[in-house]
This record gives sequence, structure tokens and C-alpha cells, in this order.
Amino acid sequence: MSQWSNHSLKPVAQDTPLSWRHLQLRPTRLGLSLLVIALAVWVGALNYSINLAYMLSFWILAFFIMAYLLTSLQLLGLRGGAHYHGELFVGDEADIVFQFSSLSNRYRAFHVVLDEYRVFIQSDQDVIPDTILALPTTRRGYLVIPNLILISTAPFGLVQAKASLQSTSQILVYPRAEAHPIPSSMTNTELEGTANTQKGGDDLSYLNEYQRGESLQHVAWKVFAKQRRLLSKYFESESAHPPDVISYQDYPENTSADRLASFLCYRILEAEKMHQSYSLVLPKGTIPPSRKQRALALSALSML
Amino acid sequence: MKTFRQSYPSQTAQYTALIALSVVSLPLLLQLPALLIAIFLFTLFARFILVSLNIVALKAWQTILAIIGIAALVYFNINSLVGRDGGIAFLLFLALLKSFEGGTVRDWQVLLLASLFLVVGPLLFDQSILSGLWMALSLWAILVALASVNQVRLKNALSQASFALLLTFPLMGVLFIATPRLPEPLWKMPQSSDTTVSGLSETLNPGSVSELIQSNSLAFNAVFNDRTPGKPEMYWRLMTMGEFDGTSWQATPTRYPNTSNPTTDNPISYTMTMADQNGRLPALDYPTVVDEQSEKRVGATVVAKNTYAQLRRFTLKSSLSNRLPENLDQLQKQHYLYLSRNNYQTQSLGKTLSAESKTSEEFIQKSLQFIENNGFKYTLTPPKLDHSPNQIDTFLFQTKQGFCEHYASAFAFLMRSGGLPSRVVTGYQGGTYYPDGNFWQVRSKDAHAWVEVWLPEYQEWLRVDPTSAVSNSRINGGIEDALPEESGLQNQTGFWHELQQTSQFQWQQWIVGFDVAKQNMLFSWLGLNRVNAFTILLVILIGGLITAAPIFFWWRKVSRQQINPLSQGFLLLKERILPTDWASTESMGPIELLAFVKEHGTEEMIKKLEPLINELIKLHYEETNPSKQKVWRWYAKAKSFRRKNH
Repeated sequence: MSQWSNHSLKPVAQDTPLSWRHLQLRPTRLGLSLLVIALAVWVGALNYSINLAYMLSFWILAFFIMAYLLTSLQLLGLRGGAHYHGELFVGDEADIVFQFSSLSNRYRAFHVVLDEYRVFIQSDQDVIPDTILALPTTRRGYLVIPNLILISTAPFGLVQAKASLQSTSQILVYPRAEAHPIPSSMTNTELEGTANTQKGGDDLSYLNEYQRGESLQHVAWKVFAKQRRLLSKYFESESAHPPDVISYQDYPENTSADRLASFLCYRILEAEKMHQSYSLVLPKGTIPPSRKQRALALSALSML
Repeated sequence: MKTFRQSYPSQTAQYTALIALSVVSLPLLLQLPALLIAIFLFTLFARFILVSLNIVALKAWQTILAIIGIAALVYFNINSLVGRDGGIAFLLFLALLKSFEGGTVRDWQVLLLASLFLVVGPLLFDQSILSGLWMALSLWAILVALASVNQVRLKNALSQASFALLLTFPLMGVLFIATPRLPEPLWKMPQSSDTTVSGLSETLNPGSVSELIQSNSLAFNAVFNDRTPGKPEMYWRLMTMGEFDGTSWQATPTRYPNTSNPTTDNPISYTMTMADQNGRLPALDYPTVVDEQSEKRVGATVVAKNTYAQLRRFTLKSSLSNRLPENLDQLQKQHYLYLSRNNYQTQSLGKTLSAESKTSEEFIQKSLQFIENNGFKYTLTPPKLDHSPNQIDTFLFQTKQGFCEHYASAFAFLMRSGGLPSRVVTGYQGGTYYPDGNFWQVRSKDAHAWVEVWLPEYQEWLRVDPTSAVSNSRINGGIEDALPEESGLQNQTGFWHELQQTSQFQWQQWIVGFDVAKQNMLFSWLGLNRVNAFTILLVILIGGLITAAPIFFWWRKVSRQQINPLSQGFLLLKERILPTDWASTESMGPIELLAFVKEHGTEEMIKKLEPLINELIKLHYEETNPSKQKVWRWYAKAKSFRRKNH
């Protein structure tokens, strides 16, 4: 929002309770107009000697001063920030979750401004229900969440209080998976590194975060009962099936980096879905099978 | 992307704004002609319906047409678009039109600002307690609407507006008391020409006074500064009428100077709070000393030097008497002896009674006895007199029923017929005393007419009230005693009535009538001898501090609820001590911080910080429930450390 002049606002670390020194207060246009009316009423009162009009003008003035306190209370003591959880692919909307809380349950109403987007939050609870802002993603790589600007003109719109919360979040946007006929893959004979998969076929190899689409039969339910975490079981294979090789070299040299990333991403996701072991070969190195292979592979493709 | 002010407020917000406009408009509407009221109400109702149907805005050409139409409507009904009546009516309709235009948050905010300006309008007409309450209600409604338009939930808008108004009331009071006042208004509001409701007319006809009784509107309040006269002595003269054309009496213009010379035997001092009646001020018979705002004129009447419609205080002195010494020259005698060529029966009676009397006083007595002994009746509803010029004859010899104006008119004519100069005097007689407020209230029901007869033997006027010959209870008890059923005015008593009248009086004294004199009095009471820039600032400062106290305590309570003092205080210490680019400021604990300071800090810093951190550890980790005082005291120390150490 170009009209917000934020240069003088010093960002505060997220989850730091806002105090007086973090706020910038100024009257709004409505507030200034109110002062002009108070002045006009006062002039009329003076000239016509109407005492009730004096009272009215002074009441408006006193009330305007009070508005500064009431508006600053909208932000004072507030703590929180913006977070994002989960994977994000190009074309998806990043559901940025705003989480705010305070030590009191007084009524608050404020806007959260994130770049050119604005969301309005109001609550009278100490833990303010989460608010989600969906940001579109258009390219892979790091999506930096800019500093949050909190703005409130509540309750009456006469004074504006502003604060800035430092954003420490950046979201890695994975490439969009592009479906295509999969070229035949190489075996693992030329690969370096080891795969941790040489024991019995029913032996559990490792657990990894459950991904959407995976079979519920592979979920480690005992772990879920204890820790409330959904994890999928990955088993060792007895046969000498080497991991599939997903390589950048499977595609013509003139394939653009974005397209290449999309193709490779598709293949990775398919392999993950089928619980197939794979190795990802990229110009800068190879990512062998491991517990965190999915995340490592997708991250590498984001930065390709 | 639209800004917030370009967005549309919720339906609830629009309703609250329209309700605020309705509240503000109500007293203004009562001043407008019936046609304008009807059109305004219809248009307002239509807007409510359109809001419910989510129909937003007029087009630009429709708005322009509407403005022209409104201007024409107001002009043809009020004959003006500026000034008090026309200007307010025009602004009122423009504000309503604003609600049809645009519909964005900005438009509704402008509407509410216009409403705020309209609040001043009725105060030009009326500053009663009800007006004050309405003003507060309007301000509250506008604030609720402003909050609602600003997306605040309705229940929070209601509570925030109430809370803000209550907390700011004391500060408003301090500013009200301290602000200097002008001795008199720069822009004086012109007097209304309509005297039928509240004031006595300068022409006395049969019915002039009796019509006023019905309105029972307040004429003035009076406070006696030393002693209080009895009700029968309370004749408040307003104007004298010497010119009679056969049917009506005309007030003597106030441009003529006073040539009477009242005695000073029986002095009494009093202060009246009122708006002058076209420059005229009532005064107890007979005024001796007037204040700097007023002066004496012909017939020992009192007028305001500058006349305007606003309420103010007049302090006068009178000498209680029914006699007013005045030497009349030949022209004056002729003026007060003039008889029109009619009412010959009365003229004949006058001559007869005068011939039978040895002295002027005997003649007056015989005339009173004529009224007393010939079946006259005192009534608010006498038979209508014919339109002939012989109305006095008709009254004295046929109908024999009338109100004070009939008796006064007839008696004055009778006196002239007997060769005694006489005049009618109109004003008020009596009043109602309110012991709780120690003030007298004179209303239009106390309006009265009597006679003054000039006695050549004494060269003085004698007050004669012919009404006393038919109704003594009118003089001693008031109209509600004399004619309880006809007047419809029972002697109102009771706690609520007394409270209402006393409140109204105090309101007049301390709010509406708070002027330079009252301000000086208040400042003296506070030990400040003069009202000047220094004393005003002093009052504002001290008063402001006192009235800001509730705000301060509320603020302290609320802001303390926002923070955990130990966490916040520790954060302040870390921010002060650690470099700005320190990576793990948030996660650093007190022991680590102390270790950091011992490694990098000076001896002095360690000496100051170590006890502070040890106390924090004790409060935060060792004590299960540390007292609030200890915790907040530690926070104050942390803030002080942060402030003093760089």
C-alpha cells in the first residue's frame, strides 16, 4: 500500500508484545475534520455566547484526545506474527496464517497489511482466532513475507495507530509439477553415496511426514496415538531394486530451468506417491534416498 | 485496490448513521414548517428502505437536481437559505441528501460530520436541560455511528462511545469553566417578533393577557439578594400604556426618558435571569438602581441597553411601594387624560363618581366599590365583546365578566373620565417560590395588567389593581388559586415538580447563564482574584490534572493488563545491553545475560545489573506467586535502568 509511509516505523520482532514506543500515532483526515468542526463550533459559541455550544466544542476536543488513547490500545500489548506451514507449489495460494494474542481480552480491531494485501481482524478474546491471507505464488524459489504493518483506526476512525512486525518467515515455493511421459530411468549403479535400503522387505527403514495421497495403511498409528503426529512408514526392500534415477540429463539440454524443475518435480512426486525409492541427479549434485529426501529434492528444484 | 475509505460500510453501520441523523434532526424539525417536516421524514424513511435493499447511490445528475429541488423547497417555505432558520433547514436537507450519494465509508463519515455541525442548530433556539441532554445523546449517537462505519461491531461501538463520553465529561467541564467569556455576544441573535407565547404584547386588547396564561412558558427566574417581598407586593412592571384609541391601549415607546423619581424607603435588591423581551425588562415597583446592561425609561420602566435573544443576568434595586412621585407637565397630563369619543356611559359614570368625591383617593375608592358591588366576575373566558368602539361600556354595564385586561382598561378609562390622569401597566404579578433553590419563578401565567392613577394632590402615581376588587385570591395566590379550573393550572407541588424547577433554575444559573460575572465569582471562590491569562491557565492545569486522574487510572489499569512486567522488563534490559544484531536475543535467559555482561560489561554495569537480574530470577522462578507490587516495582527499576544506561 504505497500510501502508508512506513519509513519511520522501526520493525519489532514477531511475538514481541507491542509497547508504546513501537507505535506511530497520527490523526486521520476524519480526525482533523472533527477538530475543524470543534473550532467552528467554538467560534460560534464565542460569538453568540451560547454556553451549550462551548460545552459541545470542548467535549469534542476532549474526546479527540481520548481517541488517541483508545486507538493506541488496539495495538498495545498485541503480539504475534505471520506463519506458514506446509509445502507450497507454484500456482498454489500460500495460506499465510496470522496469529495474534495478548494478555487481556479487550476488544481489538486492526488491519494487517502485507505488501498490497490487507486483512481486517477484530476480536475480544486474548487469543485472537487465526486469520488467513491467501497469497498467490507465481514463481518458484523463496517467497519472502515482507514486514507486517499493523494499522488500527478503531474505534472511531479519528486517529491511526501503526506498528511494524519484522517478518522472519520466508517460504520456499516448489516448482509446479508438470505431468509428462516419463523417460526411462537409469539404475543406481553409477550413483555415489549409499542408500539405506538393504535389509528385509518388511523391515521399517524410516518414518517421514505423511504426504497427501499416500496410503493410510502405511501410517504409523502408534506414533500418532502417542505424539499426535501423522508419519508414514518407509520400508527396506529385500530385493536388489536399486532406486530409480531421476536426472536432469533425461531431458534435452535446451530445456529451460523452470520447465526442467517442473518435470523433475512431477517425477519426484510420483515416486513419493508410489513409495518408490529414487535418486535425484542435478547439475550440482545428487540427492540419494534419505529421510528428508523429499524436502531436500523439492528444495533443490526450487533453487535450480 | 480500493482504500478503506472507498469501501462500503455494512448495513448495520449505515443504519446507525441514519439513526444518528434522525436523533440530531428531531429538535430541528420542530422548528420547520409542516411541509418540510413531512418531506424530510418521508425522504429519511425512503433512505432506510433503500439501505435495507442495498441500493446505494444517486447518480451525479440526480444529486444536482435534488440539491436544486431542496433549495427551492426551503426557500419557498422559509423565504431564506441563510440565517438561523433557512440555513439550518438547508443544511439539514443537504445532510440527508449526503446519505443518498456514493455510499462509501468516506461519504458516511462526511454525513456524520455534517450531523455534528447540525447539533449546534437547536442550541440557537433553546438551551434548556432537555436541549443539553439531547446534545449529549446526539454526540453519543454520532460516535456510535462513526465506530460502526469504521467496522467496529455494534455492541463494542455502543460501549466505546459511552465510555469515551463519560471519561471526557470532567475534562470538558474544566475547559468550560476556565475559558474566558466575552461580556456580551459579538453576533446578537435577533429577537423573535412572536410574543404570543412568552412575552406581553405592546398592544393591550381584550384577551391579550388571558391568551398568555395558557402557554405557561417561563418568563424569568429571580433571586432576592437580601429579603423577599410578599406576593401581594410583587408587581413586576414591564411597560406602561398611555395611548387609548377606544378599543386598545398602546405601550409608550421606550425612547422617552424617565422623569419619575421613586423613593428609596423600602429598598430591595434582586437578580433576574432572562432574555429581554424586545429590549424590555420587568422590574419590581419601583426600580431605583439598574445595572450597567440596562437603563430606566419613561414610566419607570427598565430596558436593556443592547437587546438580543440570549439569556443573561440583570441585577436591579427597587423600592417597594405603590406610589411613584412624578411631576407631570401639561402635555403629559393631556396625554394621560385623553378620552376617545365613545364609551359615553363610562364617561358619565366617571364624572358622576368624581363629583361625589371630595378627594382623588375617594373617587378611586368609589370606583373600586362599583366593581366590587355590582356583580362583576373574574374569568378567563368572558363573553366576547362586540366590535363596536363602546367595548368598555359593554363590559361595565352589560357583560360584567372579564380578565385583568378588561378591568384595567375599563378602570383607567373610568379614571380619565373623572379627570384623573391614568395609564395601564402590564407586566407580571406574583410568582412561584422554590425553597430548595431559593429562587422565584415567574411564568406567563403570572402576566397581569393593572392601573396607575396620578394624584394631583401628591404629584405622584398610585398603583391601583382593579382585579383585587373581584378576585383577591389572584393577587395573593396567583391564577391557579383564583381560577384553578379555567386556567387548567393546579398548584403544582410535589418532589418531582420541585426537583424539575430547581434543576431548571440551577441549569440556567450555572450552565446557560455562566457569564463573566459567574466566572469571576467561581474564580474568587477558588482563591483567584482575577480572571486573566495566568489564572485561566492555572485552572486548566490543575483542573485538567484532577479530571485527567480517572483517565490516568483507567489507562494505567488497562496498559498494565497488556504486558507481563517481568517478561517485558527483561526484554527491555536485553534490548539495552545486547548489540542490535544479536541473533538470539529472544531466547537468551537471565543467567546468560548476566554472564554476557560480566564478560563484556564494565564494573559499574555489572554492579547495577546483577542485583536486578537476581531479583528477576527470584520473582520469576523461585517465588510461586509474587505480589503485583513487587513485580511492577521491578519493572519500574528495569525501565529506569534502560533509561539511564546507554
